[in-house]
Amino acid sequence: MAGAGVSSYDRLRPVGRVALIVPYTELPAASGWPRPLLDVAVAGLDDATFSCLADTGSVNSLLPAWIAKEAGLDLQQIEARSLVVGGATTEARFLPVPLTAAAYTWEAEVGFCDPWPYDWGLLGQLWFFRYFIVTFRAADFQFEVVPVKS
Amino acid sequence: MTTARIAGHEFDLTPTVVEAVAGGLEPEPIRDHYVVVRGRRYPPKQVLAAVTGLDRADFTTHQARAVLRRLGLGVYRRQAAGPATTPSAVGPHGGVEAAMLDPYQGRWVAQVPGEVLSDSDSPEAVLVWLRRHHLKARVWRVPGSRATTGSALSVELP
Repeated sequence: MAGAGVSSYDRLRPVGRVALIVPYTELPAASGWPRPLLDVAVAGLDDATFSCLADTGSVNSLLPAWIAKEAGLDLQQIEARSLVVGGATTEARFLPVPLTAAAYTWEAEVGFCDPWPYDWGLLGQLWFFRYFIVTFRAADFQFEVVPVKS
Repeated sequence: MTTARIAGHEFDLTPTVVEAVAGGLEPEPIRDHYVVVRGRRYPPKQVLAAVTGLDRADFTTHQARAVLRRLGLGVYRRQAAGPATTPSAVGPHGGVEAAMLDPYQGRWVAQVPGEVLSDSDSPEAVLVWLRRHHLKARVWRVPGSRATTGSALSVELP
């Protein structure tokens, strides 16, 4: 049975002391297959977590610029870098910021992007996959996140 | 049309009027019961108070549910079976989450397991709602099409 390994509806639950098992997020039919979204909190923005795609194809970790504003981060003095994301051009301002997913907090250099036409942020190779071992179990609609040993 | 007698007053109500009034409301947090109006969930007393102009203390949740149900609207208990859906069976929740999110396509939502707390055109408005009600939730935009489901090859331009 698909999803049999997910015993609860919790979006993110610790397993033992190190691993997190996260169910894929189901999407309306028009948007296709369930996706591996991880809910991430940005330091300074305590009211909400923001969903990010664990995206092996992305080098950078990227969030929309409105999150920086809500978190009280000043991007004015930071030089903008042009990126092409998913075929669209955006301006990213990179800033080191603590990110938290469940029990884990790490500092990531996040590119805050404007415009950002996408529905979620991206967790990429440089500031996510280098810190976590991520195992995708698409057949079970879940992925596992384990911090690498420091 | 349904004639309802509430707190000594008579009201002639139609689903169209209720939908029009509810469309201008920001849904408040759901406690035990909710009514679904055009795909959004509202506390029954919030809707009936807005439609009738009565104070919420003038009627009970039970009365509000009864009136709204007589108008043909779906009235449900939180954590019980919600509106009938046809889950796709694709996904970790058998399509239940997808069916739940379906009315919110293209909308920013505050989501907790099993329910959408609030939705809006903008993420800032969702955050304002969370702060106003002292709640915490996952914020994201429910995709309305594959065009915004960003998966990236992110490439830096020279």
